[in-house]
Amino acid sequence: MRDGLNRTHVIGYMLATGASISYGASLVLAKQVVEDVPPLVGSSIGMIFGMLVLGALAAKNMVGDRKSSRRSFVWAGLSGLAAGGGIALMFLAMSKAPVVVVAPMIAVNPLTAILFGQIFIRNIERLTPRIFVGALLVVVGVIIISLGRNV
Amino acid sequence: MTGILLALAAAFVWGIGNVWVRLALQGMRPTTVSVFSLFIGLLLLFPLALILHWDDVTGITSGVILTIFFYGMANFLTGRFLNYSSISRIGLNKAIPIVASSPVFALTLAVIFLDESVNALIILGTVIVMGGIMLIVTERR
Repeated sequence: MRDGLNRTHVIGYMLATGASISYGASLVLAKQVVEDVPPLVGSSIGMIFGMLVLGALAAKNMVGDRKSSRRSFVWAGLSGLAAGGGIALMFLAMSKAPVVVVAPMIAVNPLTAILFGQIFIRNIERLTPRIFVGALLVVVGVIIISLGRNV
Repeated sequence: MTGILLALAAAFVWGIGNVWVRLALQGMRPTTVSVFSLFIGLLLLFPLALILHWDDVTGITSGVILTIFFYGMANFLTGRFLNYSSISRIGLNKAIPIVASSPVFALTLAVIFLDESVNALIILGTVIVMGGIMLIVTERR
């Protein structure tokens, strides 16, 4: 296979695309959910379902990971706090400003991830100008789509 | 202004959260990181939901629960697990922008299932997103 596009990369890109499709489907379903319950309630209960089903499917793996370093658990816990905190902040933002204003701000999160990656884990995350421009184009495109959907 | 600041705060919190995911993935499998992060996130969100929306939580119907179940599967099971798995394979800088293209897929599904219409701005945005993803995927290093 071509240099730079090995099997690991191909699988990684497929996984990322799968995640994107899943999140896309969840956005459509979320539209239905928030017609019946507040977003915070829908998200919390959805998280319970997700955690229970994934936990049941991955129980064997999780048992194997119980001896992981305490540091790994701390990072995973912090990531959970950030994911939950981000959701709470997003709903709070939407209660204070219209979606057309909030969505473009939220869309910059890949750039903040890259920024923090370069500050804190530069040794394990390589950033090239091509990847940065690609990420920038994705963010700009998503902002234009969110504006287009609210015209 | 408050709404903008809160939205930017959310983007920053998610940004640093993804760095923590990357660090956690160095010592754990994506499934474990996903489940553990969901558990910790729930400790933050579920009490808030109970405090702020008690009547909505207790009055929820089985039909709504079913929709929330499918939402939870798409977002918190497959979405988060595949997201973390991709970060562990290709790294944060390549995975996150691809995952962030989800509005393109949301739009496609909304056009198919919800009869949502498409305009010139949406087509322009989609082309730009695809261009960005192509740049990332064709990165040789």
